[in-house]
Amino acid sequence: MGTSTIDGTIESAVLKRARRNVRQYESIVFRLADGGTKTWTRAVVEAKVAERLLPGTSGRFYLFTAIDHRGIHGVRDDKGNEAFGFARVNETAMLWVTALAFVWVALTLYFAGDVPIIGTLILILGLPAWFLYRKTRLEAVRQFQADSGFHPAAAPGAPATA
Amino acid sequence: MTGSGDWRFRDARAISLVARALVLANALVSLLTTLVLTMRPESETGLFVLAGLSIVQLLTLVAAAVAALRWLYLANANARALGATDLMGSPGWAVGWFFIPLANLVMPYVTIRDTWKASVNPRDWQAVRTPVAVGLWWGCWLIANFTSGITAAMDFERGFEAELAPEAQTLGLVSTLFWVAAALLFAWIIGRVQAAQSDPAHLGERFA
Repeated sequence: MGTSTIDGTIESAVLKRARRNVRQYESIVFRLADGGTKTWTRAVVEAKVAERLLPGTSGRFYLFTAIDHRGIHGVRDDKGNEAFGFARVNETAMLWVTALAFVWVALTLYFAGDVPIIGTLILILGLPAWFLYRKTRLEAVRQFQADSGFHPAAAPGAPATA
Repeated sequence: MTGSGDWRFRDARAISLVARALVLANALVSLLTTLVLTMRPESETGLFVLAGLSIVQLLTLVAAAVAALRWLYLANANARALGATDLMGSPGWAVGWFFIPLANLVMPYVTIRDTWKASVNPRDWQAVRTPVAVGLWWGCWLIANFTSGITAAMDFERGFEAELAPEAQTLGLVSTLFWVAAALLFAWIIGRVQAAQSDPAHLGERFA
């Protein structure tokens, strides 16, 4: 879990699926300054950021790794454009699941005087999972803001621009 | 490119050998126990052998689990020490996933898969193709555990009678066969990951 950055140029970006404001990429390949490549697979990206993830885009890319998925939450390209967006699907889903589990446990306890095992299990697992998703998102926000003064120069390997 | 976390490379060759030996020993004892069970021993000696095998099976299972998880922790940490960044979770999570209900249906597979890939090519590990053996291992592991669970439930319904129902015996045998297959594949995976991490090319690149 955590955040990192890649300075380089997008060589290829293969979109796997797009739903509402979330995109999932099969793979995104970055060409690095030293000539090597770095691949990101199954990356989850918010739509605003995904608009900037086109082959040939050079700059700094901000990445996150959550407990069970990874993605890209920001871009600052060498043309001065920037975009930030964090796909909160898992975090929101986990919050709903936890809230529903809480209601389930509370109602069963009140009306039947019983504690549902599955509901309690979901509650016990859901709450820390939601907390960890949220922690990763806040870390991503802090990382992007802390780097606000950064303006990338044209990355080596980038196509010449007018 | 930047990443987070500093990991120290620690030699995991000894624990990998111990883990492989224990995993294979447990598979062998499991197979023997199931074979003796299918013979339905009634003599005192037969029951004594069965009880002895069951105890050894349990002991090797616990020992194999401890050694394999210790190896997994080190292998995951070493992949990071070799330069792999952006692996999900941490070496602690790699072990912990096995004990978290529901998540343990998927995440141990993801952890082993990523540890393999990061060991083969730490610099650009996500570009490495997922080996078929890892998927097969996980499939066998899940089937073995599900069938074992169903067998136990059938046994429970019959009130733990001395003799298992024929369907439960068949299912128990199926479970053992998948368990043995999972053990063989896992021992192979441990060996391959260990060999990749000991590759002089990786070590030279990182620690020269």
